[in-house]
Amino acid sequence: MELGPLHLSVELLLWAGFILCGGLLIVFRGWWIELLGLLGVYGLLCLLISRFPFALPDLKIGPLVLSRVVLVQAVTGLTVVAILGLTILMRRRAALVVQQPLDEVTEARLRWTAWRTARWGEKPRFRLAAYLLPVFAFAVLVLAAHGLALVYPVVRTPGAPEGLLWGYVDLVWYWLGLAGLLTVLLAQEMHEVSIGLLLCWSSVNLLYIAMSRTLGLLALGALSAVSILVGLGSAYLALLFYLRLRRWQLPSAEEWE
Amino acid sequence: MAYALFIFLPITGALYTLLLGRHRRLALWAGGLVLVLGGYLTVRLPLEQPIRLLGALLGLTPMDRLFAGIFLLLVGIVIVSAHVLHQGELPIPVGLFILGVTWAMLLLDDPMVIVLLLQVVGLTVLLAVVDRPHEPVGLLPASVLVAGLKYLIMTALSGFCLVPGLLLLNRFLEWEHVADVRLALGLLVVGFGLGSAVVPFHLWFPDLAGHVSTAVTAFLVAPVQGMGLVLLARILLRFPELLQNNVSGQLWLAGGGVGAAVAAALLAAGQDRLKRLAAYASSFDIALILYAFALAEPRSLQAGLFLTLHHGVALVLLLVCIGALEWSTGRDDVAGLVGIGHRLPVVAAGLLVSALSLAGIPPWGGFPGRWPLYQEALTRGWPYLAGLLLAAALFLLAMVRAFWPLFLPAEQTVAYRRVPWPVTALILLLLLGLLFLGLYPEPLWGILGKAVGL
Repeated sequence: MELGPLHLSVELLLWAGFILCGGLLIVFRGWWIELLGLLGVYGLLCLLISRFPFALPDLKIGPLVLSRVVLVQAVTGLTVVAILGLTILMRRRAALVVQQPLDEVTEARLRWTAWRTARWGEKPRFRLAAYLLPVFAFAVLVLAAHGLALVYPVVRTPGAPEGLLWGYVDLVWYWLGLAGLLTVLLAQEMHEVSIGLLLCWSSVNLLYIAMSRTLGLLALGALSAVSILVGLGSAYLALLFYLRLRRWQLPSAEEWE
Repeated sequence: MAYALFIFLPITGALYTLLLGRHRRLALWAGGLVLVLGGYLTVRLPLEQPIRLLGALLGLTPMDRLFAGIFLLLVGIVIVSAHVLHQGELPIPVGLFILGVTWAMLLLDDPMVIVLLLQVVGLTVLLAVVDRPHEPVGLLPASVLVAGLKYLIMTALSGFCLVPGLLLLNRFLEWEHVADVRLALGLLVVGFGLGSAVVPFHLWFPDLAGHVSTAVTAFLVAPVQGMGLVLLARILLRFPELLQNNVSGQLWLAGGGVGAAVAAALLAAGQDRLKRLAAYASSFDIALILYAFALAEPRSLQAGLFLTLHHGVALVLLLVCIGALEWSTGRDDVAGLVGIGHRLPVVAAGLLVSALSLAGIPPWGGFPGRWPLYQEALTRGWPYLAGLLLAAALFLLAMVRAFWPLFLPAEQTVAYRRVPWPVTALILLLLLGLLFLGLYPEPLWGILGKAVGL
């Protein structure tokens, strides 16, 4: 698409989409924004992979003709987002289900911790300073991804055709990997750690699909299984964390001693 | 068909025993049946007859069969001891699942798929981290969950390093871009370091081992880390370019291995809890195995693979003894060992023998693997040999510091109960296994020699 001096290719639009979704994940803290960002990343990943010359549509489902690789990515993305979404939504319900009889000492600990957390739990006010670090890190990350893709391209090789596409693939996999690491570093909630790890693995997914070119069913399945297990593992830990910290609001017996 | 049965039998058994849940005895019988059938298949599977399944090449070499047998034995020992010592409900299904996927990895040819399956296994172990049916979830120590979280992050990040490392290695074979092989080596080392908790990538492992049951740590140490080391050996055999003609890479890796072993031994010397000590012992041993692989000679690779076998046996012995001690006295600290040598002699013997074997003292199983390394180190220069001997001496010192209370007078012993006879029998079996490895290593040595082209 030509817009005066600006040449807009599909790859460029996809890259802009990846930056936008990454920005949502890094800068903002709301869980639904983050899940939306993650879903966006997987959607864009499917679109990008569908442009690979070897990912031709080879599967017919009703009126739809899809590439097997793209379908696996889409199913993986929907599954992990569903797992994380359900985990977040079910946390409160899980806390209500578990009821344990309390002794006097535990009751006292509960009251004390409730008082303490009530002091901490005042409604946070909007503070610009809280956004400065993520925004700055986001800007540095965009530059770093650009720099790395230029200095050390992994997918774009000198003699390979479709140089522009592979150049963007380099940009995107570096971006996803770096954004994932940064999300893990800045995480304040369990699901943010999970989203960071999933971004890292989507980066690995993209790199593997772009570089291996002969895709075995087993490898694709294993890549998908790892992403889903990362989601499941973090959901499991997130529920335990939530039950531990929010239901009882207590230090453990071990810490008490 | 036989290969598919070999892989899916333990995995199906894992699902079945998971569904059995609290019917512990039934689950144990089902698990036992799967292990016996698996043992039969291990012996009867045809060698060197590769087939294609789901686009992947599967085949079994004598070395694969050897490791499959050892992993079967170790997983079986851990499952039985965990059942007898009441270490939760999950060790049976998790152990069987790990065994099935580990066997699949041994049969598979593609390193990339093996790395991905290692991730799958590593992440499955996470489910067994919190397995305390008698304790309300709300009163779990937060540190358990933090340890689990660290483990999740490190496992995922290790895969994040390993997959690009392997892809870069493949690209190097295509384009012969020298920077690729260096970066690939770096990524593989970091990935394996994170996954197998080698110093300085070890921080997650002592915390995790300190909080989970010894059965979970044993699963991580024997089949998971063991398979990781087998994979590393396979990669080095398949891509000799990684270290050959890469003098600086070899130097860094070998020096790093010795340095990591010294550091792990020093850190082990500061531990008062036996579970954390076992984690550092594992880290120490794996660092020395990495040193063996770094030399990239057929003989050192053979020694490294032998030490990988020994690693599983010695660490499982150490962990079963610690688990038995915890069950018997309710403690896993050094002070709880006072007088145990008189009261629980088999457990005390198991602790001592595993320590001696890991330090490479004859006649135990660590010695035949270490001796060629010492010889090789001497040919490369005295600093290597001095580093290896220093690491072994420091490790021995750490173990002496931890275990000397075993021999204090029995009158000061903490309250204890007798260890169940099946666990005592398993400890004796592992003890004999280490003695066998030390006195008669030739059969295994021959199989491993053929695998590395000697």
